[in-house]
Amino acid sequence: MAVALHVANSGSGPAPASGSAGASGVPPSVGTTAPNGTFTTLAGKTETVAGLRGKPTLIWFVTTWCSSCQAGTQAMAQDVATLAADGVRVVEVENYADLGQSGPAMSTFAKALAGSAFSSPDWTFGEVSPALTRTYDPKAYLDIYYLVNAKGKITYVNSSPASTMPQLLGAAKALA
Amino acid sequence: MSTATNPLARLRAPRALAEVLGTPGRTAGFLVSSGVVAFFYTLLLPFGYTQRFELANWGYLDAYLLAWAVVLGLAMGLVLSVQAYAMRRVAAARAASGAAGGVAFVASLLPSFLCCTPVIPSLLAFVGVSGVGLYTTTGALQHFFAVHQSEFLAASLLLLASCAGGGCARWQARSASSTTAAQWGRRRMKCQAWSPPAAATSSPLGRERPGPARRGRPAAQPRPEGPGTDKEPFGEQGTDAPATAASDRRRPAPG
Repeated sequence: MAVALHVANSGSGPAPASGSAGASGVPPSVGTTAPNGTFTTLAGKTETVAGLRGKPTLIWFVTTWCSSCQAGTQAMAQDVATLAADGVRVVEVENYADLGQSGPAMSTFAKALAGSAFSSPDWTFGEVSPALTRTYDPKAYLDIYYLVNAKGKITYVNSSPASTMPQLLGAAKALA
Repeated sequence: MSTATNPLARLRAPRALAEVLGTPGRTAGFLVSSGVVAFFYTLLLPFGYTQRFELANWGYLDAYLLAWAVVLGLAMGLVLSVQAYAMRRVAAARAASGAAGGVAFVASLLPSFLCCTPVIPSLLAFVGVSGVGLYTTTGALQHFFAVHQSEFLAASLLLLASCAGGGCARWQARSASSTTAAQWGRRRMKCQAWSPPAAATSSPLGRERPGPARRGRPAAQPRPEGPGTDKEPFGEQGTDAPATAASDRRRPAPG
């Protein structure tokens, strides 16, 4: 008994046209280059998506008051080491202003739910700009992630790691 | 529920519940249905965490959600028992408790199914909301369901309790009024035994009997008791009054 309700943008799904990401309300699709943009880490450092190239990265957009995001972060804490073993780092960022609703601060959210994995060098937490939120999450899903390979190409898209972790780990292993 | 404002009807509800669960079979049915519903609630209430119906949802079942699953399971089991009982006894009560139970079930699951799922943003995008409006509306709606889960669960529990208790009180009240009518019928029969027919037809007792159900019928006559007389689905033809033993005994024989 397992009925899933996902964003369902995996590699086998229909792919939106390349280059139309964000602006037209279509999220970036598998096979396209991850759109560039800036985000700020909890340490206050400003980084870019393009700057992540050279190492496979999971870019995960969350909303801190969302229950599936909370559960997903707890699940990620269990598997961040497995992803790291496959050479994948995790960048978990808060959708801009929590989609306009009040929720816990990203630092509070991360420390409470990631536990000891919060200090992992392979897991970065941060907050994103309105533009990057609109680009990667144009439909305002509370939770959506992109697996990007070392060349900056998107290889897998889905949501709710608490329930999609096996598929995510499989996609990460395929990158290794 | 019309009887919700009637204090006398409310007092009768516990007696009606005792009647609904009055046999070992009915009690077992109530417990089984409650257990099954509670089991499904333990999978459904954590749906927001995993977006899936699977046993792994129990990993997110804390004491709070477990308590709600048990309470809602018991309440829904009671409504189902009342409904099953009413199907045999009162058609109107069946319809009332069935609709309210369904509404309560849907209401209890709204927060789990509409928070953190792509349902709301997809619907909004489908109807043409886009850009900033999509962000604002999606966030506001999903946040509403996310933070008001307790209120939704409490409202559904209240609805279940009211439709179970109210439904019982309703037919219990009708049962009582039916019994009263039967008592009036017995008195009238005594009158008829020694009064002239003209006096009997003009008796004020005749006018006090319930109108539509008795209209055009002959005066009540004793009906031979026998197997199955209290197992008919409806107490009176053309009404939804229950077939209490008292009213059955006073009902005119067919033909």
